[in-house]
Amino acid sequence: MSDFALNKKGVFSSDKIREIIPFISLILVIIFFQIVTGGILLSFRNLKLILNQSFVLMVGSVASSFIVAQGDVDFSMGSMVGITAVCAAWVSQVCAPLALPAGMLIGLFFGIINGVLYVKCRIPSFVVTLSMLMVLRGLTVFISAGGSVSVPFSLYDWDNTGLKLFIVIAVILSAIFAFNYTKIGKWCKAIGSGVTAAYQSGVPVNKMRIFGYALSAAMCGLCGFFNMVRAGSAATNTGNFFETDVLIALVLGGMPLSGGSTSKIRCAVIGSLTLAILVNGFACWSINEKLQQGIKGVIFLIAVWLTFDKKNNQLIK
Amino acid sequence: MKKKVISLLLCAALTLGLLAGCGSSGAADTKQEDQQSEAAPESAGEDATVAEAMGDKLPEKFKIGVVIWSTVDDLGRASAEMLDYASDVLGCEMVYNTNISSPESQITATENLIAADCDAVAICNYSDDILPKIAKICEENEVYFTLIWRSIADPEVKEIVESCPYYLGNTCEDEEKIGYRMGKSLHEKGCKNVAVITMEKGDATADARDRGFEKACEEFGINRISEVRNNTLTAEETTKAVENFIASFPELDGIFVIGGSNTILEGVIQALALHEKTGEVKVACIDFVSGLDKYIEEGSIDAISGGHFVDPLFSYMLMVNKLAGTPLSETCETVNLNFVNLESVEDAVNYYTYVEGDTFPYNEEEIRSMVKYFNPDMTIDKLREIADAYSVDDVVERHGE
Repeated sequence: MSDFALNKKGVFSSDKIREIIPFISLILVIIFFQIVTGGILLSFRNLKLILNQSFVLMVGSVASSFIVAQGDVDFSMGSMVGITAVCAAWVSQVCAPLALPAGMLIGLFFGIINGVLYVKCRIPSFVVTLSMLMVLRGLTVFISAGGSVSVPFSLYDWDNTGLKLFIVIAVILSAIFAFNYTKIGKWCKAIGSGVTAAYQSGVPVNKMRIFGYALSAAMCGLCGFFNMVRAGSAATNTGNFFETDVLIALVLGGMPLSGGSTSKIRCAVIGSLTLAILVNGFACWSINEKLQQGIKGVIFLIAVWLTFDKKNNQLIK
Repeated sequence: MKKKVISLLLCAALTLGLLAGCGSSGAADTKQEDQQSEAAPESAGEDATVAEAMGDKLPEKFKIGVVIWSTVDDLGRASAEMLDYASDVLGCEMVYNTNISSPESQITATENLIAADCDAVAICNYSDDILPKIAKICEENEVYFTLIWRSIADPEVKEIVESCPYYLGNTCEDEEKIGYRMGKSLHEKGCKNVAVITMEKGDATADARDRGFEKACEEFGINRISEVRNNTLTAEETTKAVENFIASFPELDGIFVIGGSNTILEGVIQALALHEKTGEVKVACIDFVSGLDKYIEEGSIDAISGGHFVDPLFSYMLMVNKLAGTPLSETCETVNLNFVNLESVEDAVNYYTYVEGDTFPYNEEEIRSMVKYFNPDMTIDKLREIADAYSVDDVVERHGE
C-alpha cells in the first residue's frame, strides 16, 4: 500500500470517527437516560421541556460558532444576556412590543464594542470579552437598581414552545446556510485556519471579527429576551454562566475551539442537545445531586479527549 | 482509537460503579438510627396510639422535590438532612435540584423536578418575580408547591400565586427583624463604624435583612462604612475582604455578616485573628456554622442568629399532609419560624447536642405526629404552634435528659 493510501486511510478513519463521536455520544446519552428514567426522557411532555430548556443555549451556541470558527471566544455572553434581558424588561414596562428589538439592538451595540476593541486596540479576544463580562455585569446591577425587573404578564405568551421551535429551526437553517454556502462562513473558517493566509487571500479579517462579535451579541439579546419572558423577570444574575454552558456545549458537540475548516454548525446543535439532555436526564433520574457535578465533569473530560483536535491545540487567539 | 473506546468503556463502568455505591444518605440514616434508639423509650407511651392503626409509613411513597441553592453548605446540608430524615420516617422520597444560578435556572430546576415525577415541590425562590411562572407550571402539571425561607412581598404576585390551587403556602422567618436585631446588638456592643458582607442585590432574604440593619443604623447612628456584595464568597475571599476593610478603615469596629452559612463567617474570624483584632472588631452574623461554641468562648462572635434549617420541614408538612389526603387547610397557609439566638457557650453546646449535629430537633414520633394521617388531631394551628415554640430551650425540654 502506498504512503498516500495509508495517510488517506488514516486521516479518513480518525477524522471521520472524531466527527461522528458527538453524534454517537448524543444517542448514547439519550438511550442511557431513556432506560434509567423509565421512559420519562422521551415522553412528549419532557421533550417539550428539553426544547424549552435548550432553546437559549442552542441559539447562543449557534451564534457563537461564527466567533469560535475564527479561533476566538466570547466570554461576555452571560453578561450580554443579563444586560439585554434587564434592558428589555425595562423597555417592556413602557412598550412591550419593543422589548425584543431593544434587547437585540443593545446586544448588537455591545458586540460591536467587543469587536472594535479586539480589532482596533489589538487586545486578545479573551481579555476583551472577559473585561466586558465584568463591565456588563456591573452595569446590569446598576441598571436593574440592584434587584430584579419584572415584565408585564402580557409578555408571558412569548414563552411559547411552538414559537421557540420555529425560531430555533430558523436560526439553525440560516446559520447552516450562511456557514456553508456564503462567503461569511467560508471567511470565518479561513480566519480560523490561518489568519495570515486568510488576510493575504483578501479575506476582510477585521470586519469578519467585528461581525462575529456583533452577531453573537445580537443573538444574546434574543436569548436575554426569551430568558426574561421565561422567568417573568430579569435580574442581576440573569444569564449567569451562560458563556460556560455555550463553551461546554460546543466542546461536547465536537467543535474545534481553535476554529478552522472543521468547524460545523451541527456541533453547536448536537452539543446543546447533549448538555440539555444531560441536565434534564440527571434530574429525571433523581440521582444524588452531589454526584451530578462529578459525573458531568467526567463526561466533559471524556468528550474533550475524544473530540479535541490535539494536532491543532492553540485554543484562543 | 481502540484504546479510546476501551478507556471510554472503563470510565463508564467506573462511573456506574460509583453510582451504585452511592444509593442513600448515610448521615441521615446514622442520625435516624441514633434518634430512634434515643426517642423510643421517652415517647413510646405518649405516642403509641398515634400510628397504631395506620402503620409506620404513609400509604404511598410520595416524591418531594426541593429547589435549593446548595445541600453542601452548613444551612443547606442541615436542611436536606432534616428533610431526608423526615422522609425516611414517613416513607417519602426526596430529590434536590441545586442548579439555580439565575431566575431562569430556578424555572428549569422546577420543571425538571416535575419531569422527575415529583408529587410536590418546595422552592427557595430568588425573588417574587419568578413565582407567577412557577405557579403556572405547577398548575399545568397539577403539582403542589410551597415556598421555603420565603414570603411574598409583592401584592400583585401574592394575589396571583395565592389564587393558584396548587400553592399550599410558605414557611418564613422575619428577616427584617433579625437584621434590625443584629444592628441593635452591634450598637449595644459599642459599634459605630460597621462593614457589611452581604449578597448581591436582588436576593429576597439578604435584601430584607439589609433593610432591617439599615433601620437599626438610622436609629442608633451606626455608620455603614463599607460593604462587599458577593453571592459566592469563599472563606479565603472573605478573609481578603476583611483585610481590606481593616487596611482602609482604621476606625472599623464592627462587621455584620448578612448570610454566613457558606464558610464566610470562618473567613471573617480568621482575618480578625490574623490581624489581632478579635474582640476589638465586633462580629454579628446570621446563619449558623459548625464550632460556634468555640467561637463564642474565644470571643470571636458577638451576636449570632440562625438555626432556621428546620424551616423547610414545615412546608414539607403542608405538602405531605395534602398529598396524603389529609390537608391541614383548604387554603394556602403561612408558617412563621423563629430564629435561634445563641448568647452563651452553653446555648451553643445545647444547640449542637440537641438541635443540629448528631440529632434532629424533632424525633420520629414528633415528625409522624405532624401528619394528620397518623395524628387526626393535627391542625394547621398546631403546626404553627410547633414552629412558634422552636428554640434551643424547646428542644432541650423535649429531648433533654
